[in-house]
Amino acid sequence: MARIVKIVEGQIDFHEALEAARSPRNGGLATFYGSTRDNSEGKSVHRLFYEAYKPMAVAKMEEIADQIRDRWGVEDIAMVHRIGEVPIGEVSVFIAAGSPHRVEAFSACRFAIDTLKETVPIWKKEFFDDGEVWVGQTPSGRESGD
Amino acid sequence: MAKVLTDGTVGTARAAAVVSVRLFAGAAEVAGVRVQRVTIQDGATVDEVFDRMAEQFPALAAMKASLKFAVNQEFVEMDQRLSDGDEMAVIPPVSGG
Repeated sequence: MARIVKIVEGQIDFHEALEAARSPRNGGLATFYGSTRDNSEGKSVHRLFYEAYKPMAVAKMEEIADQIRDRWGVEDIAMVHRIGEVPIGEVSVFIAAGSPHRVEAFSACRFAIDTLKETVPIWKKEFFDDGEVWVGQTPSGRESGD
Repeated sequence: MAKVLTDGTVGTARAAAVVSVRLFAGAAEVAGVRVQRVTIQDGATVDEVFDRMAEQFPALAAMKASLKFAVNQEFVEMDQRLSDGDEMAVIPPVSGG
């Protein structure tokens, strides 16, 4: 059994994360790679920057891993989020879930990324030709985008 | 704790408490500050402390409806009461992934 939950600066170590989720007893290993896009709502994005409330973000990711264990019995899981400057096309978040059978691995992986995006205090800023925006925030505080 | 006040009435004295308020992403940007120590009366609510911050940094007020709050790294409602040494966080809409 292995679990990796962390926030890193610099490139994500996929090998380490995959090895945490891999095991001889697991017949399925589902992965999700989230990477930085060069466009957002029709505008070109030049670069992206991520910020985290690090101790709370890690605690929330641990909670997600606990929920996955309780719901699907999946204990072999890696959740790694990169923060700071992330060049376009590089991986900003990586999830790996290993399970004896594929259904639980897919479910765990999907739940992990969906819940992370909803509840973990991490923020993404996109830089355009003509400005910059914290995704989901506007100067007036109304939500926009996803 | 109840005690006799100087005017002879009995009241509840609320001690002063110091909390640290952390701001992130857009909230930190509009306020121009990432952490602020705020002296409050022990038991003041998250809502009251935020309003104090918004008086000092008026641009925060417009964001209020979109914000969530955490105390000691757990999400809380705005009526959550604070004690000395607590860490309150102002959490704009999250956008990790």
